[in-house]
Amino acid sequence: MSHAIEVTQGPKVYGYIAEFEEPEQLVEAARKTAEAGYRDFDAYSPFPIHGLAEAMRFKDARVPWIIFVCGIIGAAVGYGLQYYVTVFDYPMNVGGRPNHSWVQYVPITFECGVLFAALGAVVGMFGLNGLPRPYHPVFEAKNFERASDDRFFLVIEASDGKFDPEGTRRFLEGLGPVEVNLVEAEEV
Amino acid sequence: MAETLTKPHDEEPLIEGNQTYASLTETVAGVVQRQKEHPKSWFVAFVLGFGLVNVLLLSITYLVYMGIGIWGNNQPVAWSFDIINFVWWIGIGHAGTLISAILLLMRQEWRTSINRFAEAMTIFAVMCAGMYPLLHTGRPWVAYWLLPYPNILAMWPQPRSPLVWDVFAVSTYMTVSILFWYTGLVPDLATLRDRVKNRFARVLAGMGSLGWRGSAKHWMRYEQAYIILAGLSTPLVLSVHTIVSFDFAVSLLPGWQATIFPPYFVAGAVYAGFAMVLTFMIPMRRWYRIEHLVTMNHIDWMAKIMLTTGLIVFYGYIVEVFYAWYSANPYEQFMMWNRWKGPYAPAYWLLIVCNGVIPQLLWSKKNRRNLSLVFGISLVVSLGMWLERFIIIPVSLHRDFLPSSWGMYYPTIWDFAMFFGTIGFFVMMMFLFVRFIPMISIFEVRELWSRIRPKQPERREVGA
Amino acid sequence: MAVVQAFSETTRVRAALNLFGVLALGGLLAGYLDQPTPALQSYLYAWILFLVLTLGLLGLTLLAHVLKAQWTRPLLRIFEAGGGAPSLALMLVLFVPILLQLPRLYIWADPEVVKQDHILHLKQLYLNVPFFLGRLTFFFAVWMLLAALLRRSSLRQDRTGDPAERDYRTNLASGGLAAFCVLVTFAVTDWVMSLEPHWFSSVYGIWFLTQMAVTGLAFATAVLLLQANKRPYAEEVTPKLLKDLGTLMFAFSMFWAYITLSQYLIIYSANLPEFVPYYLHRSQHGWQALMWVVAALQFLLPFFVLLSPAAKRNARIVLGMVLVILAARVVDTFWIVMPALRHEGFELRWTDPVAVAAVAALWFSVFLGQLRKGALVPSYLPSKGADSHASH
Repeated sequence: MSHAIEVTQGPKVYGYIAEFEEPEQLVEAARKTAEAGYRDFDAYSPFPIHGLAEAMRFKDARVPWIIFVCGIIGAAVGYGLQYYVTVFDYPMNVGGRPNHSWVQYVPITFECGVLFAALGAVVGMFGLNGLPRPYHPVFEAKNFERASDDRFFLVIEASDGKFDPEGTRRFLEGLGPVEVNLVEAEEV
Repeated sequence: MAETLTKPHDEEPLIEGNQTYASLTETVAGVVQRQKEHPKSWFVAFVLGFGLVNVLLLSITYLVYMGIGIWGNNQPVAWSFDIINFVWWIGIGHAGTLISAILLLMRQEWRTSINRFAEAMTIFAVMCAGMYPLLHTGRPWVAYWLLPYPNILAMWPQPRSPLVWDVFAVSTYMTVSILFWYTGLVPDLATLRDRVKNRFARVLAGMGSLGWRGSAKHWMRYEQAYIILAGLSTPLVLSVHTIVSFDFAVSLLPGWQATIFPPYFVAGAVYAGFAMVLTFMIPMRRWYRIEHLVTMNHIDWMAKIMLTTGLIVFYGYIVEVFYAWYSANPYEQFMMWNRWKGPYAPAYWLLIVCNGVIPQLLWSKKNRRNLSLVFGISLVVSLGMWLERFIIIPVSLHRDFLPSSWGMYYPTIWDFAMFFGTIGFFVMMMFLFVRFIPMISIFEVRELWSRIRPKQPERREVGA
Repeated sequence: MAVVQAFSETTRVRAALNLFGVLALGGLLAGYLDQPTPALQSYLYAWILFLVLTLGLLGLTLLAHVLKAQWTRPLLRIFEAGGGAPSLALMLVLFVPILLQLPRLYIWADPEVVKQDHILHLKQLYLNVPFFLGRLTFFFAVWMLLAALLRRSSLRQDRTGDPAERDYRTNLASGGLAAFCVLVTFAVTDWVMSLEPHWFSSVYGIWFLTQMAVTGLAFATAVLLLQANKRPYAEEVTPKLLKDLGTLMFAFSMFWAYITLSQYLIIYSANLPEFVPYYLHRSQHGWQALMWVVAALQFLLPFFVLLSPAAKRNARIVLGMVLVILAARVVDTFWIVMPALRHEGFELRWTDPVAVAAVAALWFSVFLGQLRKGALVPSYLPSKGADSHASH
């Protein structure tokens, strides 16, 4: 990581990780961490926890907008394609209906809107999350394989302005975790 | 819990027994991890499915070699098994989307244990459905002609035709179903990545999981996207079967040209789909000992939805009969008379018994909790919904406006080979799915558990 | 803090409404004596407009008892008051003037017309006055019985707190909802579709059921939100409830759009001479303007506004939206009913608003009277699960 800091002796540090047993503890810890003024920190859990993002004071409303815009573009493309085909490129008299028979364009317009919006949802969501990303320093942390099973983790990253190896560690220990460990940064 | 839009569970819990997050993970992921412990019934079902897949391959090969003349449909009955089965399969797929999307939006928590399974069913059912129109073109290798693309013939598909709408609807439906299913699967693949010992499986799961690490920021965007995908899938399901119904309804044929068709087809699709979920779920929950996750409450709720959609379908039959008579239109009246008294009348009356009469048993709560009875009714409904499409398609076609062009339709052995072949394909895919992919959404079950678990303050104090 | 009780002073309002209603009916009578048929047309339109509302509220009462959902709690008494037996009785009484002049509105009731029309001659077995009357009586009898039984049980549970009442209502309402849907289909065929007796559409019943659902929910939500700062609604109107109501309003409107458009698309595409005149007539001679107004108010505006989760939690926006939707219902019903009667193109007569005002005044008088009979919000929760949660 570019924002890893050098600690005298020993490995480069990505951050400190605290392990919790219950989701409520993690929410509480995240709230306190945000209150303490930390910004570069993240919580890890085996399922989405209601209220966790709010506790972390993390906001991001881009995904719904991406989906909305993609849906509008899709519908416009669908309608435009039909309009182009039946009015300009290949006009054909079908039972005396007007070339621009909008009623019959509704199904394809709708389907294209949904298709684009769904693609926008998945690509946009994973893209904003920075996935796919097969490797990440937290995977090396002790017990982290249980983050996809039954444990809850909080990581304060070394890139945070308030980060200080001893103070941050003590701060995390004060939150009542099972244990606190060092996360090494990726070797560049 | 009281905040749900509609209240699913009055008394019983949705997850039974004394569980922990780890035990829930173990129950579901364990099915995939312990490959050597699969029940014997798995092999029986798989071999049955695989055998029928061979029949399917054989019949496709012969079809491509000989042409679609090997099927029984010919003028005046130009559409038959191919379209019946297409509509039947698409309909079965709809329950999957309904369970995963509509019930998610309605915050029906009982969906959690069955949505993954139902979504898989959707994908395989749509695959089965898609085979029919592609093969019915006679030249499936030029199926891309169905798509609009600039070409040297300067021709375009006709966007006023419902068959072109079908191409857009079914391909969108397939794409969105896969996206929805895969998005739901990513966190569970991460669980598998962190658990399985086999290196090959680990790498596969790792690639599939896209490096998911359960970050709270990721979960937040994930939930935003997932709920909107559900919101998109809901009208999509309606639109797909509506467009399928338009294949008939925008024509001029009595028995097809009916404005009731869109809602009536959608209800029928959900009806058949829930019947299929029940047909698979009832044995599966016993074989894999997941009765504490797929509880009697789940069976009860699915049976209730089956009853409701069945009533809508039955309403459709009543309305069709009434307006055929009310219309005073001789063609409409003859169409109905032919259903009742014509050469295919036994199929019509069997349809009424299967779809209209027998499912009324589900009004009683005792019956809804009788597993063998619900299983039996599900099979009856699957048959009934197949018959409904038979009544609509060949029975409307075989008596044209002109008596000189009347004819009969008899399916050939190849029609049946293809039909049972796709059933085999579906069975095989479903059993491969339960063996290699977590059949219940693990992270959603954990999430549900975190909210409904009995609170244990004394244990927490000891921990702290 | 002194919070005002909602609907505490209704006696004088009701008296005023009754007086106003009778006066408006008198005005309509004057119009009738001048030109009978146009006045009757106005009156039929007003009657159908409020019939859709009444039946919508009855249908939602049934649905509420089947679903037992949280959002139904503050709305239940509004549903019951407007869709109850007294409102239905009022609608039945108000139909009498139409019955007395049936052939002026329904051409199949005119023997002279039937004699020259082969199709109507064939349809006489169904469309004849005695059978029509029998069906009318039967429909109202079943609806009033259902409404009365449910209302009685619901008020009884308020007094006794007996949870067995809830199961009784759920069982009654499950079967009742099925019966309701079938009866509505036949009823709207009789009272609305048969205004154009050559035409039929098999989705008509579902189309009207969605109109009823939209009208009923929009009306009940409007009543609730207009009184939202008064007791006992003030505690009930939470952002959560608003979001549920906004979502439902959105879903109902979209479903309405879906049924409306697919009926149009099927008839447009087939282009058959039996069916297409219905839309041909309604899409020219000025009627098309109403079509676009309805499309904008009932579909486009709710779609874009209620898509946003933030808008759905805002009481003012939700209230604005349901009022827009109610306005769309008034226009849409006009567009459905009037082209069948006024063949010369779009025409608004002075008797139209007078008839609507007359029926509205009498209807609201019954509605307010019913609202007063019982707690505005039931004392119990809609489902057992909710009970046990609340006790935690």
